Amino acid sequence: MKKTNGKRPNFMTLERKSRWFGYVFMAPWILGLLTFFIIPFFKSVGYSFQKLSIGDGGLITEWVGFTNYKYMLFEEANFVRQVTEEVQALLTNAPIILIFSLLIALLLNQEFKGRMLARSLFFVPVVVASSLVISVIQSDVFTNNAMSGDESAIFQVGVVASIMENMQIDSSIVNFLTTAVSQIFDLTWKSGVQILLFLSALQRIPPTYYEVASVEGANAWDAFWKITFPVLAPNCILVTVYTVIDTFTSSSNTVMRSIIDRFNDMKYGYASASAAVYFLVILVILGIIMLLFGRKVDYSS
Amino acid sequence: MINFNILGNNPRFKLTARKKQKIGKFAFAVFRAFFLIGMAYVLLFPLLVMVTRAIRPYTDMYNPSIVWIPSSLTLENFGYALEALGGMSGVLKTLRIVFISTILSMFTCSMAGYGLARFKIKLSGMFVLLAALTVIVPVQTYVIPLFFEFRFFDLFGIGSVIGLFTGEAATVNLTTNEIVYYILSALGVSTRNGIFILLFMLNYKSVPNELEMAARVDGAGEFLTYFRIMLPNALPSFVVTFVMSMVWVWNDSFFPSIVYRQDFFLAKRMLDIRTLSNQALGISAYATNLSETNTMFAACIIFVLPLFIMYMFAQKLFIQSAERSGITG
Repeated sequence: MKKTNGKRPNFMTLERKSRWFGYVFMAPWILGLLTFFIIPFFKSVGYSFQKLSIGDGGLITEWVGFTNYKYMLFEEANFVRQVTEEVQALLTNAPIILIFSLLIALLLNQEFKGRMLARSLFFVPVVVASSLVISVIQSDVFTNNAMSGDESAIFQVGVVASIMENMQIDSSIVNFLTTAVSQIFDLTWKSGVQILLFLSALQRIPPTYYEVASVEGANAWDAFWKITFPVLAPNCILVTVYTVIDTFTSSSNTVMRSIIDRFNDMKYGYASASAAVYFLVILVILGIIMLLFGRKVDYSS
Repeated sequence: MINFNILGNNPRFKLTARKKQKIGKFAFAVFRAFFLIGMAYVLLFPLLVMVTRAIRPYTDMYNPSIVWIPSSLTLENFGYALEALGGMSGVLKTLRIVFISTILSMFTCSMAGYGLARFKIKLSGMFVLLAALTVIVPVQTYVIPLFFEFRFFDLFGIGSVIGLFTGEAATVNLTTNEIVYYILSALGVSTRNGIFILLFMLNYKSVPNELEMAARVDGAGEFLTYFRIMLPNALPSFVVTFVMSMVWVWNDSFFPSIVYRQDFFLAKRMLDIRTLSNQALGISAYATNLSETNTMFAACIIFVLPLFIMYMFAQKLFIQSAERSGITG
């Protein structure tokens, strides 16, 4: 009895020591989390109920209750409209980005000549794509061609559309096609990271799986649905979540821009309130995604 | 030996099956080539347009016969653009800030990831969730208190302790100092650092236990084990983190326009001249020049070039590392 008593504290200290070192390694990050994430986050929620201004020695606050929220949701027309527009755009874009990036990743995963070149090309948007440069490309490269003629429009959409109209095809079909075509640019430029995520998952499927499948007589279609797809399922969620975060926090987002504007107008309390509501919307969307697709996924792998 | 391939034994079937496969493969290769070339066109076209427009003189803009090849080459657009972006010194300063904070957050994140992956820590699930939350919660939500945190910066409450004696809290205004970046990245809470922490965590988890054990048996301490044994194993994560962090900090115009209030930061500068050129204000010399899209394109090229050069060098390593580093979990 005495012997075990003598041993147990020793064992405990080893484990405790190891745990302590774990915290040592994480210490800077935990400090950062507390001071620059958790505390500011709760402060921000508090600010949204206040009217703020800068004084000499610090902040001057004045409790105003739900005034900021009331004003934002019921009196100012812009905020609600902007948020619903962004959510609508996301609902149409996210599935398309998901399927597109999966398709490209599958293609890039195959063995062919110039694969390396193709890959480095598709990751150029990962590096180059700042939303600023994209917005310049979209507004200036594609539309602002009054001076140099129509030649530099990426696809000859206008020409094709006018031909189709001459052929008396219904204008709604023409419109659908032209918008679809001009979306291709958006797609390729916004799905760089997503392709990367899918590709890295594909690389980790052992080739023996496919060999076994082909020996067993499965064709490529079966192999995709029985092997590739189950492995990629968790990545689909990851990619969707990434897409949501990326679109909602990019500086070209209208809601974000209006929050920055409010901040620059010194309406700090109001800006906090709109940021809080915006975050809630994002959280609800992420929650829905998790509820819809997250159930069958095993996170332990 | 058992022959699984039943069709293979029959010469007639063998021929047709193989032929079929060959045709299918060829058709698919043609489709793939078409698809990829088309996509490459979409990716490269805007860049090509930008380059050819940036190197042509102003007068070519109004000449409808000039589409791709300029009548003469000029660098004057780049001159205007560089002036508008705050000159070479602004570019270099930004590059310095981005580079140093990338290095700092690389090490903090790798250490935090190591702590999460290799030690039995209570509430480790909570920490993983928090790391994910730092990415999911947009900075916009808490940027305002963050700004005041730096506007009236008070190291561990020392300032307010002094304030008890002098009657006024001694705080420092850090919002014009680049140290803001270094503080955030040294503490692993800079732009999207949560992703890097999770990335490192997954990478460290995949390193076999025996390596660490062997080091311990040989008498290496915790830190020696980490720096000698674990760090080299996390090389893919380091490469991915380096590239992505450079890209994200460099491109982030939100943080410098709210917290770090210095005008030279390139992403913010780009945003400013973009709005200026949109409004086409003729208030200053460079604003009129900027209303020309050519100059805007030149500015874009200057803005993108440092990252592009980095990518050229790191490209092969980056793609291989991204595939190996278990980025997806």
